[in-house]
Amino acid sequence: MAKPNGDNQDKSIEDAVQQFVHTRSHGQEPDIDEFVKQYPEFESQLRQRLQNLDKIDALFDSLVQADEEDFEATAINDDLVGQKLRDFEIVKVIGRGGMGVVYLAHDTRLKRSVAVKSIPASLADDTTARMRFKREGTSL
Amino acid sequence: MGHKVDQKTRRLVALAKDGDEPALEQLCAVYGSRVLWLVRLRMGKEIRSRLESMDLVQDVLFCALRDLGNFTYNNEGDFVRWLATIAENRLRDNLDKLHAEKRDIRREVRLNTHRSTLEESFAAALEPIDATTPSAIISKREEFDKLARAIDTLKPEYREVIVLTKVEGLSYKEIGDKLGRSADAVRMLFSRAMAALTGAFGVV
Repeated sequence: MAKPNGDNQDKSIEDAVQQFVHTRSHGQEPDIDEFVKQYPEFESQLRQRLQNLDKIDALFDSLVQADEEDFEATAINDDLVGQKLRDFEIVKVIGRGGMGVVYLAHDTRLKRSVAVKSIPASLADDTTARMRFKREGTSL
Repeated sequence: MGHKVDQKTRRLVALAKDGDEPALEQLCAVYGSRVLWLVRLRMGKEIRSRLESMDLVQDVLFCALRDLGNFTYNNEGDFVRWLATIAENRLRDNLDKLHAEKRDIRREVRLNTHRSTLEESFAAALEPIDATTPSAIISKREEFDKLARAIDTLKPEYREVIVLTKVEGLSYKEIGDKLGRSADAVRMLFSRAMAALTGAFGVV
């Protein structure tokens, strides 16, 4: 008796995904909802596979194309050199790390050299980063 | 978006070539994990499973970035692939040396049976130096790991066509010329390969 079994269904899902990829490879963008409706017997599995396809495509894209966020997150900030922050005149950059930039500064009130550390703007709202920054400050 | 990134990278590459350390550091931060994943996806799992420590990969990447020499930045994809190629070549050199020096069967057996540990050490090498450094690519680490594992389960033919299309950025025609097939045959192969990949993704 020829009844549809698991293997047959797997094969049909495979064929459907393949057809979807093939259509896309021609530069067309089939509507996912419309597409899965054609296969009511395994609509949800097919939808899952097509979602995977989008994830996979996005992952590959992000490998060969840098994200602007990456630049912002790792930006080197020399902006403070030459500026005055309260009593501190920022002289130059003396170190950089994942958490920010350390500057050599001159304390104009106490007439001494100090180190000033700044954290990137992207971390300013990060509670953990703020806590670490504070802890580092108090441990000095 | 791509255009702005191009300009930023172009500028950083120019600075790094002139020996500007901060620029080099930023290039490493932006491209580091991206290049490592490219290498991870390109290399066959046999050769990968012989890599005991991924510290090597990290070293290799820094060398690649210091080697900017006469490189001219054209576009994003070419740049990251160029870095990955240098990193990969250096890795292969190191592996050849490793084979010649330490032909120890027991050790190889041990490496093969500890595949998962190796995967973990690879993942560890891809961790940012400072865990708080936010980066779009780093936050996708688990997803990339899933992708790499899924690709490992595919048959070599599928793996190859996916890497050539999605990583190397070649057209079906170019791949066809390489493999001695028609562009249409490559397209069919690619569709089958991607369908198989969507089935393995997240399962392994």
